[in-house]
Amino acid sequence: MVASYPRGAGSAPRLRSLALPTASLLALFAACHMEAKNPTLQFSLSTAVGGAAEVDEEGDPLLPPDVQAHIQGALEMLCGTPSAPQFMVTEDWYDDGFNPNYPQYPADDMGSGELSDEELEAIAASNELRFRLQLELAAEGRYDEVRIPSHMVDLQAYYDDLRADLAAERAAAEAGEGDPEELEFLEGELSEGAFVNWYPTLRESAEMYRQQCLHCHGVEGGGDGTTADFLNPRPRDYRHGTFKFTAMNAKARPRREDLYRILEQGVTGTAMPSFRRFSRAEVWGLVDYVRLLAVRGEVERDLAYTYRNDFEGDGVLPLSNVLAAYETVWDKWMSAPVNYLAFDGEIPAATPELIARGREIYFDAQSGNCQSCHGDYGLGDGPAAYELNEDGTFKLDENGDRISAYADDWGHPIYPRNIARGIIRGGKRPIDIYRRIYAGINGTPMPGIGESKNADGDPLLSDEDMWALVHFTRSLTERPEPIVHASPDHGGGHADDHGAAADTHEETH
Amino acid sequence: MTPPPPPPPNGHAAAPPIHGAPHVAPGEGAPGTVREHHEDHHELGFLRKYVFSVDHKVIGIQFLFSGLIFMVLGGLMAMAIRWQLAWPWTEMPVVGRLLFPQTGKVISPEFYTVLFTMHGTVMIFFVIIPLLTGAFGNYLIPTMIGAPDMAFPKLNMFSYWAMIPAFVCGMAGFFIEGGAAAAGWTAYPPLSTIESAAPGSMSGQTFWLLALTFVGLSSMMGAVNYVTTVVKMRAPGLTMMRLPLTIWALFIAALLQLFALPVLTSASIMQILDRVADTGFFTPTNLVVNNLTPDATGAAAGGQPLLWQHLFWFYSHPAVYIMVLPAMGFASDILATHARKPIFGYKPMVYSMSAIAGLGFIVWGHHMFTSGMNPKLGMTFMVSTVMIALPSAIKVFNWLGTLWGGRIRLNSPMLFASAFVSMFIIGGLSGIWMAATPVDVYIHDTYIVVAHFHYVVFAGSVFAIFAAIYHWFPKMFGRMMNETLGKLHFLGTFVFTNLVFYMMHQLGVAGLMRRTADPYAYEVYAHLQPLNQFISMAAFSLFIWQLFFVVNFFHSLFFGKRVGRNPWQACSLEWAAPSPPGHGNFDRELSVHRGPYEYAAPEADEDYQPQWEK
Amino acid sequence: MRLLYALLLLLVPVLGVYTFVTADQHGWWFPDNVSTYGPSIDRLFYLIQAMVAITFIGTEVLLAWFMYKYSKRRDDRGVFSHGNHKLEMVWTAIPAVLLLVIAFAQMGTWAEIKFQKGFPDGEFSMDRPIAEVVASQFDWRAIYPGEDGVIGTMDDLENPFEFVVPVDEDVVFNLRSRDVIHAFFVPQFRLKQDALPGHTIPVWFNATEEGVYDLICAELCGWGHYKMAGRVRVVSRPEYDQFLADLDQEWFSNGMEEVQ
Repeated sequence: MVASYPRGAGSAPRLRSLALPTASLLALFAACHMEAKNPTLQFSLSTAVGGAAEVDEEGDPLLPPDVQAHIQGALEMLCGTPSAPQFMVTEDWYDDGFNPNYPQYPADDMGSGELSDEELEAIAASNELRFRLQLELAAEGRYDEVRIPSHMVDLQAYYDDLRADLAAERAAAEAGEGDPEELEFLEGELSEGAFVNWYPTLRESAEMYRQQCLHCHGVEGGGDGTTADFLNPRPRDYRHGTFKFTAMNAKARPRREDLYRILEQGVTGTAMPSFRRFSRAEVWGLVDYVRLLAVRGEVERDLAYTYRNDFEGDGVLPLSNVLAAYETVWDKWMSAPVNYLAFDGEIPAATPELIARGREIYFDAQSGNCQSCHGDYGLGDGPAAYELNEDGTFKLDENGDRISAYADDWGHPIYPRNIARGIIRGGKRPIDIYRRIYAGINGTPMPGIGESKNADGDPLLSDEDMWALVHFTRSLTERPEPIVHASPDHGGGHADDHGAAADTHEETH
Repeated sequence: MTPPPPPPPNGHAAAPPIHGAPHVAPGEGAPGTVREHHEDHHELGFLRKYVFSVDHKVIGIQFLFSGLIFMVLGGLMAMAIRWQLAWPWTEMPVVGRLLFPQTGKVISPEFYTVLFTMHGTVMIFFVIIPLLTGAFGNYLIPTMIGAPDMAFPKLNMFSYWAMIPAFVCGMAGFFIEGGAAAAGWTAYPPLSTIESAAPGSMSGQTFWLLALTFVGLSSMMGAVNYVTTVVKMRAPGLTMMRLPLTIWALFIAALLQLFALPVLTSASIMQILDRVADTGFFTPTNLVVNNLTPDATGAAAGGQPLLWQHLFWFYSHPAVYIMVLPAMGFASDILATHARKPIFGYKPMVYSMSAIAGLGFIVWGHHMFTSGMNPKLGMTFMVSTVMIALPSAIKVFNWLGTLWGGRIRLNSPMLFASAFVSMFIIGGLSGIWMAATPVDVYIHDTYIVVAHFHYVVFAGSVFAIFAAIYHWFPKMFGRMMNETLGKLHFLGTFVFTNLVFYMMHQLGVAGLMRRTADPYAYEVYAHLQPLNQFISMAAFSLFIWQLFFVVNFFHSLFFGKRVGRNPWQACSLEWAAPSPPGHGNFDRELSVHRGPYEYAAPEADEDYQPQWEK
Repeated sequence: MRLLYALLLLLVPVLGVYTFVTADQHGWWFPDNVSTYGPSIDRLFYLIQAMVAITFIGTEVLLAWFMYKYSKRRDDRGVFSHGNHKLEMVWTAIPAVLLLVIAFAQMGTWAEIKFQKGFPDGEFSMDRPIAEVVASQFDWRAIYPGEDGVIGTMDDLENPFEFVVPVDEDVVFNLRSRDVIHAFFVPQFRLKQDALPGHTIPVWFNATEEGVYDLICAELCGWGHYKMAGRVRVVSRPEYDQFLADLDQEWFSNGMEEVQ
């Protein structure tokens, strides 16, 4: 018997039903040859300083559109755009050979000279690690297979140029008219120099910022990226030029080293991770770009403030005013190292007596008075930090949470640190805590008491008292008991008892 | 041999479908014998007929269409994931402008977590399980056992309509603050229970859990129905050992659902309670998440995150078998039919499926080898996991035995079914590495795992679904699908599937972790980008290639060649019904005289002896 | 046509063999192994690889061959067979034995890696771990015990991102998470362990080569999961001591070294 079943029912393929998939496939393969593009972003004006979104009672923008356009233009002139960020070099700077766009070059040679020779060596060493794969390939002369990370756009362009030159030079050499020195130089650059001596341009750093930072910190560094709404605390808004955890006294701008340290260490207890996975050059590049955003934001605030309060005339501010604002901001940044804060002397040992002394200061309303905000146990629940009812109890919001009495400079409610939790954002080192206590925390109600004077005009706290307080603060972060493992072979480990610290820290310290 | 009653040339013309529900109450009379028209039958309105229908066939087709629609959605999410993995943080072509205007047409990291979470959720809970058990379970169980409908038709209708809130809740996440769930489809707490832990753990996670609960409810109602129907409503003479393997597979899968789903449903209710009522089943003491303590986030402490993993995998591992057993059943039927040969070793096939189901309940811990549970427990789970490879191996050998000496018709269902066998071999074998605890320490959560379960669930189950659609389409809609397009569809799908998923094994051996939005910043992964780009291109091609199927499906739906009752000359009972079967399925008394795979019997007139013929 | 389909099915084992052979030169294979228990994990992998490869190639080739051979259009009928009991017994028994071999072959390695009974008890032990590695969203931090050898006291030294260990020594550390589940994964060590909030999990390894290795978070921990990178630096004993001394100096610095 022949099995007769409909083989290929409707076996004549209908052309029109084939047309759609075929066309789509062709389109697909065409699409596969498209290059993945990095997006182009634009800086926009911040609403907080009178940008487009803010309006007065009558619904008009606070600053007229032509003024906004002027600010926008001025900022672009001074700091460029996200795809072409660049500091404007003023005439004075040019005369001095100073150019903040190139921190890796000396200050009298069209650089800013902010990187020491030792640092440049360290950068070269870390570049060797960063470009290990590329260097391996290039050492074998396989220049065409070298892949360069996508944010290093200028390095890619430079490398492509070198390759083209090399090809031309080799062709010339074959024709017998090449320049051996040139050839040697090109090969040296291709196989080593381009990578080892690499330092990111602002454009490359902007691209890296886009990939790594933008979704939290936003295009303008306003701390308003797409992820920002879900973070607690919110990401830093650079545009005030205020940074919390620096080694600076008073409300100075941070040094580049301070920003570098934040990027290197991360801010524990927040969503800010450590960026040590990237090379030193890359992290320095991010610092450069963050400074650009901060400078841009500060100038923006300055101009907007001038327009809203001081500017009488018609039209727009003269260029000289704009440049003055720009230079003022730069002066603040360049003078940062003057305000560096350190302790010139040996740190006293953390003896029980000193810790006990620190505890007294912590509770002493006349000197430390820390407990008024940070609470009796360091839990961050002192009465002074929260809104109180008339009977002295805490006012509660609808969720049953206490209501903060203060806001920080960025307008967000702020709560005193729970020290006993052991997470100290600015760093847990003695010197970090010393700086916090001495100089306070920028942008927050945390005061610095290092230079406070008592009624007699003497320093409120002696050096020893300061360290006593530091040691007492650090002792609050200790765990009550060292960890002991539960019965062996129970892979689940055991419940850890760290957090009990919060509740059981008795007043023995 | 008694000559069979002459089959009508065209099911429609010769035997007008019976209208009106035959109304078989469970337990009333001998199962499957009631065939007379019901007295008060009447024409149903459009709504009752196609929307709120109690007819298992309409419900099955409803499941089929919603499943296929969600498959497109889940596929689009997969494409977005592949874009990010190949070219991280670059402009997404075409749709980038629409979807991500804020980030410059770039996928944001939190949306990436949403993407892979929802891709997994949609594909597993809205596509594979509903397609296998919902669409084909519903359509095939009554028709293949010679019953007029399910045992509980209304329950059956509810089981589809319980999916609607699941779909709504599942998709609602995309439109609320924080976005859809982003804790992975496994939803490990505390990431999933603490609202501040991730954007998607705001209300999105609650909606996700609600969707899961509704899916569980739907599957549970379906499973009760399937088990009852198979046990009570078989046609006379259809003993359990004469059931087609598809029915066995669906029956065992339903049993798995019955026993495992309550655990998942209660676990998801526990997690909902953790989130909305601060019960703290899964939230341990002393967490500081996003700078908030559990007190401040509203979750009480004292819970155990491992508890969720145990409960979740107690369902979700059997779920893997729920997703692959019916596929095995389809493949068995299709292979036997189109190889014109009895299935090789019917009883071992049944026993091995039962063994897979039984062992499937005691292997869940192999998802947790690195989770920090007691390593001795790990060793126990390892042994049971290794042994579950045995029944799978038996099945593969039996399929090969079925093909041996057959007279194979190379049509679309056969091609997809044989590809299912080929792909299932890969998916099954790569599981052995994962079962080996020390090796799993290295490959856990790497792309080997991704490759492994995509070979089982995509290259396995979805291939079987394609095979089943090509195979049962004539029964469902009374028209053939276009063979040329079907074969074209097979060619590209097969090639691209292997290019996509086989290469993922290599990524995994190189150590690449899943769920990583931008792996190339790690030095150890930097060299894997070209391979990922290759995989992505193949994946885009695979996705586009499905257009052949879409065109074929809709074209054939309206213009396909009309067929009679038994176009494939198959033996099982559904081919005794008209194509498509009317309300009540069968237009004559059925009695079953033999097993379902009596092909190529030397003494018979035809090369097949249908079950219903004497 | 049937040849095409058979070749297509044959493509799978060909692809498998091809990628296996060329994997190493493309870097699609294991990263270097630098831990003491790594080789036994790799050996186990290759043992399974051998068994799997034979089964894989055998079954796939059979499938392709059957699909080719038996799809020839013929007018007679196929073999009428419902199975073969002896054959069934054989192909049940052989895999069963092989699988049992696999199951028992791995128990020793598993016990060596995970059983706390067998944990190293040298300078670093479960009671005196080298450090505590704390994971939090999205950050790794190694906390060294400082002079008193006890973690959780004031003289602890914290090193973000980088976990430095001496080479060729059994190292035990405690793994903790502060918020959600993370996982400690170093591909070169063949080591992966989830960090479970609420638990302190001891982990051990012995790195045999100096170098810098990526530490990867292997369990989804939120939107910044991909950012959660760390590094394990394996150094010689003198370098390790120097590192601790440097860290101690940096940690208890008075800040004057930065004043030029």
